[in-house]
Amino acid sequence: MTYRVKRACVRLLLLVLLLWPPVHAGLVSFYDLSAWKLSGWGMYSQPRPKDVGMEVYGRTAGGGDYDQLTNASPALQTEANAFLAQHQWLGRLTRPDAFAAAIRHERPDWEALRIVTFRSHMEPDTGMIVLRRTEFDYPPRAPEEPR
Amino acid sequence: MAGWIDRALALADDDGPVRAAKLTTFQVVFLLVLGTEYWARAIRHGSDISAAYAVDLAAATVFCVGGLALARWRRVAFAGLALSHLFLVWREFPVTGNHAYFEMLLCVVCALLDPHERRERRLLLQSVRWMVVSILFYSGVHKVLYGYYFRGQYLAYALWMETFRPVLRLLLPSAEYERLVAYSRDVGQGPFLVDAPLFVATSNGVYVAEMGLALLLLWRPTRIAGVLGAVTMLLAIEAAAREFFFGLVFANAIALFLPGEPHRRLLEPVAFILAYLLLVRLGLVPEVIFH
Repeated sequence: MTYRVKRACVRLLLLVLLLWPPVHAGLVSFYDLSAWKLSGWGMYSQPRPKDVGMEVYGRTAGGGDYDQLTNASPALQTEANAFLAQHQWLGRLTRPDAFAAAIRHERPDWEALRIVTFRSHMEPDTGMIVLRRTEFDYPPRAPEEPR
Repeated sequence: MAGWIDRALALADDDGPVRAAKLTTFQVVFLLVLGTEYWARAIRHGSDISAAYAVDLAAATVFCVGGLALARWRRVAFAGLALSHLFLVWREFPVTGNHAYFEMLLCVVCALLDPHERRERRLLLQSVRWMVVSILFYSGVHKVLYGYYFRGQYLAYALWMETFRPVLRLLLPSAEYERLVAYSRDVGQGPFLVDAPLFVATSNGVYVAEMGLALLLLWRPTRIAGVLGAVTMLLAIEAAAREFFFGLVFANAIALFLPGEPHRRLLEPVAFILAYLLLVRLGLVPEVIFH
């Protein structure tokens, strides 16, 4: 490898070092990515979540209210844990598509799915621990559709 | 664009020429830390380590020993270690700690650039120094952006970790300390807000120091002060966070800002610390908590 190529690699490295952290900070703000991960150098800048959890709701073709999924099968629990392990750090950059497919496989009568995740989070202004909730709808909810 | 980047890189230059020994000794210290870190992690997991990690450990050991014993093959060893780290990052993603990315980047530049070639040596020095500056500066920026340091919220929350308590207790009235330690971090708990002036000043001093030290390290007239400040801050952080391997890798990189060949003097103390950490993991000396 010539010196010119090596110099180009170092230039690229410097660009990445200078540009990635601001992009990373944007992902933290807009997609709820954890500041601790993905080499944005934001470790120790925000509390790590202590609790992470999930609830699943489904609605049959006739409409009506959503029913909560209880007594999930071991296979579904495995899928849920795999998703939560990613979601805990990657926030809304991840979607539970594989988990949703697994639910549809077990509950083909459900026309619509709603997967709700919860993470404990400290509000910086009040210093209180609150639950942060994220919803994933399958199929995606139209903007005007009520919850 | 290229000219602008080269001018930025040149900010991290030394006044005079740099000797190859400065960079090669830096690499030796780095290899020692990496090799020990792999083994310390393996010992901690004991018989629970996966087959994939065992293979990675064996490869990393060969690369570290080879890189230390055979200077001519050191760049190949760093290339192997970069791949080994890439494997770790991929396998643990997204849980991988930032220090693994930092180590991987160091391995990449050490594999790419030959410290015995004058122009490449300069690039190697510039790139490692810029890594240190970037990490320090953006660590401070993140703390400002998320707002958990203005009223001591993050440090108050960090009291759930035992290793943070002896350090932060010194900054808090006892009643306030007892209040914060009693929280289990469940939903509804708080407020993790602190009025103690010393605690709040320390909390705000963290990001000011991180961003300020990055600039002090970059500007040649203040570089020595920057090194002293950065090492002091690193010691304070490690007293609480106990990420000793990251601390050693980072201190090794910070020492590159010093004139001469400071790593020669670092070699023995670092080797002693690493041996001690391994003995701790093996349970042969009294327990010291580190991650």
